Amino acid sequence: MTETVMLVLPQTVLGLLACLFILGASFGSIPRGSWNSWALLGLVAAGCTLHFLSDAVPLGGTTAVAVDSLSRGFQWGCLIIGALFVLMARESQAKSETAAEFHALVLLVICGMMLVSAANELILLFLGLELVSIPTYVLLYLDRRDYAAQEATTKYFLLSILSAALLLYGFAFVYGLTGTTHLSVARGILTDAYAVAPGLPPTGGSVLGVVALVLIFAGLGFKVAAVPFHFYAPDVYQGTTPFNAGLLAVAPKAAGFVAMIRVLSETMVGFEVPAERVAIILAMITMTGGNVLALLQTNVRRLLAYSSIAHAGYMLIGIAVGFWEAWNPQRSLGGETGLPGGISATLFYLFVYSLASAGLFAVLIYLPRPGRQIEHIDDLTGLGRTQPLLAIAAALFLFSMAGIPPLPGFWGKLSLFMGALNVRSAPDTLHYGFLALAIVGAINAAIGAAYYLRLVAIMFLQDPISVPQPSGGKPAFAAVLLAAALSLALSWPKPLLSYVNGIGERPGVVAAGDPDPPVYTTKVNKHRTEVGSP
Amino acid sequence: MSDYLPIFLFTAVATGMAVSIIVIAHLIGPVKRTAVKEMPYESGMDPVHSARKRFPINFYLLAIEFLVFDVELLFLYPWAVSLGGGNHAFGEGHAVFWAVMVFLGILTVGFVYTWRKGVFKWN
Repeated sequence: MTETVMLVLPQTVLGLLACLFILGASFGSIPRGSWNSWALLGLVAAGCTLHFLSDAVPLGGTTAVAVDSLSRGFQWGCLIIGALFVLMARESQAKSETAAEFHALVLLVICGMMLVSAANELILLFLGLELVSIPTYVLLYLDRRDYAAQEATTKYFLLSILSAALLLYGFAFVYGLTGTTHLSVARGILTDAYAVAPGLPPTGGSVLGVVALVLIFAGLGFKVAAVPFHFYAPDVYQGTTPFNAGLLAVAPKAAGFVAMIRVLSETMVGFEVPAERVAIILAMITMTGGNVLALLQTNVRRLLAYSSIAHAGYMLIGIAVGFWEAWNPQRSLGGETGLPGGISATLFYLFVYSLASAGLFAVLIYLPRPGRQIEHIDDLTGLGRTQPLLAIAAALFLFSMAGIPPLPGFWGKLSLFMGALNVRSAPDTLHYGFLALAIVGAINAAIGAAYYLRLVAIMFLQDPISVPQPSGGKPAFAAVLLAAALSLALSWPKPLLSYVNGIGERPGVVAAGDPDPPVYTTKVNKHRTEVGSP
Repeated sequence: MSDYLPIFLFTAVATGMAVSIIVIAHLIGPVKRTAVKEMPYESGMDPVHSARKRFPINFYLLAIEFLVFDVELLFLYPWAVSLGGGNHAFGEGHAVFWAVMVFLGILTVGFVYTWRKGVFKWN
């Protein structure tokens, strides 16, 4: 118990701080401008506790919290991106009546993301996801209260609780199948029940598992805005402040992908083949849908919403490859090519995408005149003349998202596509599926480049219509520059790539199954004879 | 299966009761159709107006506040009953005690916030 509490110390620090903020807001003697500094300090404190956390406890124990390289790396990413977001809100929140609440909610979102990555337990994982969702409902309505914002909030709220219900339903099936909510124990049970020799196609498992898989995919599909579940994203991004749009483009997506990695690709032994099919199809339609619809947009935030949908599609490629690697552990891609396997590629891409998104939305926060937002893409006309440094940074983020070679977005796309191309030993249909996935991905990268380059062209090749009067304040500008510097640094991707590559090495199948009590094993075996394979 | 027989019986009785009440009321009750009675909601606000009309939310806030305490009680009752038992799934008695205290603390923070923000001021 106490040990578990120690393992979530960084999250506890953030949660406690959020509670203090709420209390401070209700007594209201602290100046409004200082909340932002306190929030930044809180993030630093969380970083310190994360740094000094006791030695890593690997996945596989029966603790509800897993402190492994995946969770630690992800949590560092959360803190870095979170600090960028807090920084870019500094000026706009300095005079806001609800500054304390705002910062408390942002801290809770970051805390939730970190909790999801550390969850080794379905209930804790769900709690973390809700801790990302629930504060965003409030955030969406806090700073903007016109009709569009009302519509955005209602849409996001309703679809989010619907997705939570789907997710919980899926979790219930996982529990019904394995009799446990601990992910590593569930993995052990499913391995005992369904695993075949490595490299052979999985037997397919029970129908219940496939139902769970589809439901969890649907629930998390809402979070990451994958295509059949994406309808809220453009309206919500357009109907809210650039800060909230940026947070929505990053936080639920990151939490959704890390949850996908934790629950599905790490745990669902025996269901890899249906999972691969779902992930391949989802990735293809998400990329294509997002990119094609982004071509038609003239509102900047709407365009970025569709672009974020497309990026979710790219990241799903990595998830699909991850499923393949899960039943081909000896063919893990990392060793062969020097490029990371599917999961690590997804994680790398996630960080790179988050950085570019945070930077772009920081530009949108910094740039507008007081009381007015950047709406139409023509509002950016001639930015290269009037705000050269800002325009160069924005172009950097756009190039990174488009995947122009030296920038980190290129390395992310390369490792994702190479992962799909390197899948060879799969059964025929799947093999062609992965080949098609890589081709569709490459085509989509080209489609995506069209609208990113259009934005760059508007900024640099057209004469400015008016002189901008940026009102976002120096901190937002600093956030832009910091994100740009980090993106540039990642153009030398080796350190981060090798780090996430190390994450991708999952514990051996048998070792992970060790700690499960024998009671569970008999239970599932009985179950298996009842349900049988489809 | 026979363990569940009372539940099935209960379900059958409950369904039968509900259906028979509706059917009997329909058969023997007097029916006078007037404009007021044909409205979806016979009492309360006129249901047809702009969806963006403003209305006081005091009742809703109070209802949410009630819900918070209601759910809190739901957790506290089994906790209070089992606290003395000693052998818990989540650790020693002290840990269980403080875990729930943290839960109560978080709820209290929310309560203090709503209180200070004037939810209970009734103008």
